[in-house]
Amino acid sequence: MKICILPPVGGTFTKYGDEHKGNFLLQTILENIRQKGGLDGVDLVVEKGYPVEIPQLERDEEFFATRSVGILKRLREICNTSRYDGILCNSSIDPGVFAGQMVGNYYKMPVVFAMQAAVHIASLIGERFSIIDLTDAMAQIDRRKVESYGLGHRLVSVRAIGTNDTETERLCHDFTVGTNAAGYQKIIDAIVTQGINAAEKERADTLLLACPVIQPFENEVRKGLDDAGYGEIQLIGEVSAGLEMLKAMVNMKILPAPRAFSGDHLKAKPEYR
Amino acid sequence: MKMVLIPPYKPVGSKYQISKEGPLAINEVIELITRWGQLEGVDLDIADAYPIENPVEDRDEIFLAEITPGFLKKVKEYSEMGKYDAIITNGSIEPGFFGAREISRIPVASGPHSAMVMASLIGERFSVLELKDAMAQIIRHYAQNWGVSHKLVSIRNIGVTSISMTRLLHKYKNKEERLRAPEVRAIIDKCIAQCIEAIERDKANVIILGCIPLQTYWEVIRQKLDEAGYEEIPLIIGVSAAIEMAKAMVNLKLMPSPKAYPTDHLKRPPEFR
Repeated sequence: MKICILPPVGGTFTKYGDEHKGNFLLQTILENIRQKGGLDGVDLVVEKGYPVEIPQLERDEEFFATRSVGILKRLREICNTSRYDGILCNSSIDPGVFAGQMVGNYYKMPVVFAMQAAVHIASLIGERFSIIDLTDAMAQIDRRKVESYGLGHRLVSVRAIGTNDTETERLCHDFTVGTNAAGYQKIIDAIVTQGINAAEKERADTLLLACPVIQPFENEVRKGLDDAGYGEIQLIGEVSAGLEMLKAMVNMKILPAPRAFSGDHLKAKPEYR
Repeated sequence: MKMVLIPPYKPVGSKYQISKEGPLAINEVIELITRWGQLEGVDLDIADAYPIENPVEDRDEIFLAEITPGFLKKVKEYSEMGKYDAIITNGSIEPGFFGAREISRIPVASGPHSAMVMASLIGERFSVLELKDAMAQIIRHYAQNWGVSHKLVSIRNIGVTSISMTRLLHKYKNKEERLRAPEVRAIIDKCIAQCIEAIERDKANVIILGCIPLQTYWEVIRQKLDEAGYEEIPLIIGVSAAIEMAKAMVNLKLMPSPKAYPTDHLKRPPEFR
């Protein structure tokens, strides 16, 4: 099975790592997945994201609206190559999710967005899930997205660790090159603390790690939760969940339902919505 | 990856008990999804199900209650063998869904639940095609428990018992001969009529074929829906979805969340439910 990951952005914005392999955080996530056997039988390519030349620190509705356009453009380009059996869009907050699935339908290509996949895996294994993300503005968008997926009643909280993704990425990078272990640990502690809060206060049975910049911490967060006595709480990284749901769709020979993600070319239009 | 499929029960003393070749309907569905390539890398066994003496024809709440204890014994037995990575269940009226998840030491994926998770991912309004009205009501109860009732727009039935369907499989073991038989063609026509009602009247985007004998007709139903202009409607079968959801749980190292399916041994029970 040949599948690709489409990162949310590319070009000069990808400050750390090889643009052709994805940034070093995505490489870390994929290595963790590979070690668990999640990439067995998968020929995986990380495609270039759409270049964003002027990065801004805020990750809010305006930013994601802008980002959607580039994601859809790249999605069309990649679909046109017919090189893959399926495509995973791995940006947090799923910018362009409904339009992206329309594009997938047009090209008869399974397209999965990471957060949408992850909340369905959470729904498969539990009944009350919490999302851990970076900032409050992102948390609000997460909440709206999950509502639009029809699973808002199972999302018991979205908790933010209060660090933006540029800062988090920098702390990870510094740790990787051996210059700032304390900063790295601070992020892990913040995620574990929010995870425990979600388990205790909101009675979450499953936690989702949202933004790609916090998913590389999955193993460390798992250990932190286990050490604190929360081994029963399930932990899901959105990219790994996205890959599993994409593989499932490819294996089952199904596409996002055209009637659910429809354009004017839908043949069997419903009488009303 | 090694999985075991546990059927809901094994008829004993019935004229239509399991043949020498094994359960016919399950074998045919497995043959179908093997052709799709879904079982590459999967070693799938079919369990010796719990015996039920002379099962009645009705598939209702009483029958469900009667088969559940034996089914759960089998789940416990197979989960403790140490031979398997995951358990698949295929009973469309879901004996022991919650109990199985509580007692199993390995991931359990059930057909109807997995199919609804996939339908929720790829569409927004799905319909289940079942055999009888009493079965449909049981599935509605489950959908409410699983938090997807608002997406389940209808459960339609063709008014034929599971035993009758099995009888036809035994009578016409040759598939081509079966599909030519007037009594089988009448059933297929009913299936198509109900699917079209689900699409047109209930505005379903996705259809799930419920009981296992129905799943054996996937190909002909797909073909006839395509011919009727409904190729945009994905058609999901439970066994196929369950295998994919089991793979996902195994690859992601996830279990049904103990907090969602608790026993009295839960380490950190929530303050309240």
